[in-house]
Amino acid sequence: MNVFSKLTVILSEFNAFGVPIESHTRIIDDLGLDSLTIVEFLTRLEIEFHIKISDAEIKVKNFGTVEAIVHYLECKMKEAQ
Amino acid sequence: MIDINPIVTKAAMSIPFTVHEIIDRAAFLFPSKLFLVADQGELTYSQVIDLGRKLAYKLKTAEVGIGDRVLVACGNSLYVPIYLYATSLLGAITVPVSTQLRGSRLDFVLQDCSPCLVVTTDKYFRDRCAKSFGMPISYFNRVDDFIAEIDSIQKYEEVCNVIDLDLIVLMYTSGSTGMPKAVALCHSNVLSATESIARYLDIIEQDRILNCIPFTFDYGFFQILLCAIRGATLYIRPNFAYKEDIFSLIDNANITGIPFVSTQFTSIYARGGIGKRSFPSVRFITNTGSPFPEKYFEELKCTFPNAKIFSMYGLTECKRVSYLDPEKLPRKLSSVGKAMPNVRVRIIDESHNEVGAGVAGQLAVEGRNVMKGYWNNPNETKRVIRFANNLENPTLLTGDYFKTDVEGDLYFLGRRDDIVKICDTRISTKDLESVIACHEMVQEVAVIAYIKDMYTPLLFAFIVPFSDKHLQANELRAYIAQNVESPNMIPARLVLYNELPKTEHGKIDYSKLRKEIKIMED
Repeated sequence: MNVFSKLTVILSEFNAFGVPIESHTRIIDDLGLDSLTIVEFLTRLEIEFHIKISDAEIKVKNFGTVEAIVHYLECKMKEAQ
Repeated sequence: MIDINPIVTKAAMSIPFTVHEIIDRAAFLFPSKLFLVADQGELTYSQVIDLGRKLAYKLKTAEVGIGDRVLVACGNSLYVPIYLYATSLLGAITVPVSTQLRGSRLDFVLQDCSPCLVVTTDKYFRDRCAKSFGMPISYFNRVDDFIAEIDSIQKYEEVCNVIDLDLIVLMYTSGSTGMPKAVALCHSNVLSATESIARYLDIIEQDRILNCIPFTFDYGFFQILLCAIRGATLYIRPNFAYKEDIFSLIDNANITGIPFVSTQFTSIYARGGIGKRSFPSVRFITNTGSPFPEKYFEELKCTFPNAKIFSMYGLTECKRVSYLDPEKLPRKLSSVGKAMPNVRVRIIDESHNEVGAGVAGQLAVEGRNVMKGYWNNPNETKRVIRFANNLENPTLLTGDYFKTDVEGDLYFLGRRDDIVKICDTRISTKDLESVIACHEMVQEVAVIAYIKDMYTPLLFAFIVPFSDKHLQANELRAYIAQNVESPNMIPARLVLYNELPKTEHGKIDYSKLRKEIKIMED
């Protein structure tokens, strides 16, 4: 499964309103995550993608949209290799 | 830009009556001062009144007038204060709602307040509104386009015949039971609350307040007015989700004040906390909406070393009631202090007689901040406001139970349903929640006293452990037993959850939990 599909599966658990998950989807405004659920979401990403996310990386730039998260994860996984 | 001085001079020299007058006054006193700073751009006080008066002209030509409702679903953005100013000029009413409002709740709100105009920045929200009702919808994708469009209008709206008894805002409360209710506040309610809060927080012109609380929640909405009444600057963020962006902003903008809700404290310190990082520019932080999270007190002192910490209590029906003198916080972590300026409180029994210190009773509030009533709901208004029609002051019955200590500081005990008697022990479920919340592995907790048939209430504790911790129910039970005053306070059922159901404002949805108990027990 590629990064996008895997992420879509994880996000679908947080998708309270059943909004379609596309690359430009914003995880807060569109999917309805908040300051607490995002913490849970990041922990899930760490487990599923075997990465460590530092607090300093919790920015819109990295986690604003689905597209940004895919890009972030790909970079992180490359770094880890 | 048209010379606005003649318009605002009078307002600047007088005590403001209306919301637009406080912004006019700030524009007169500090014309080039930044009022609003958001992702989409920034505006000075004079720019806001320039745009606001032009927008008001546009709205008036669309027949928006005294008493008309304008529904504003624009998230935390520059649109909200500009529309607030424009509707105030026209004597119209702003109705801030979440862009995530949908389904039967959206239908209810649209029907209940029947807006003459819907303004939104969210295309899904626009589509949902367009489907259900036929009212006009203004949809804005980019702030720049909006400002350019309004700026091209070369006419200003003069103030129409607005008085301070006119309504200015309907705040829909999350209504954890049934459908939402709209708290209707007039200019005079709003101004009195704003002045009181600005006084005790000691807000000054030099303040830079960071708001991550939704404008659809009175706590967020009033930050606009708290800045305007003192000529301070409001930094607007859409949410508190992206910690690092928030922290950089606090540093770069030298933020001086931050309103918090307790879930935001949890999010700051979740995932191992933020270490030794600290923000010396912040001189006050506030908490309301749910009890002050005692377990973060020491960490907060390190993170915000120069900040006074205000623990406060209020309800939308009168905006705010009380605050604790920050000096007392270290020894009174669970108190919400005394009534704020221009507000009087009494704790009363079932026959409305005042009770003494240490005795539990309902909190009753008098003050100009007490709402005019619930929109479209005279029966409910009559139920919660006493003496609306005679010489005594209208008194809001909060439905919240409190006691005071010998110094007269208030302690929240819970809603009427939250206080139960088990084997002659009076138990406040809120007290029990704060005991359990102090456990280091507990992220969130909700306690409910469930009365099945006619038997003794059963205490249910719903607990969300931090996701990286392995909390055992029996360990937690032992911890509770050591920390409560009576064994009757140990919950009969401890239920571990991954998350608790929330209302749209992010508060724990107790009615949903009660339903889940019913399913478990039946």
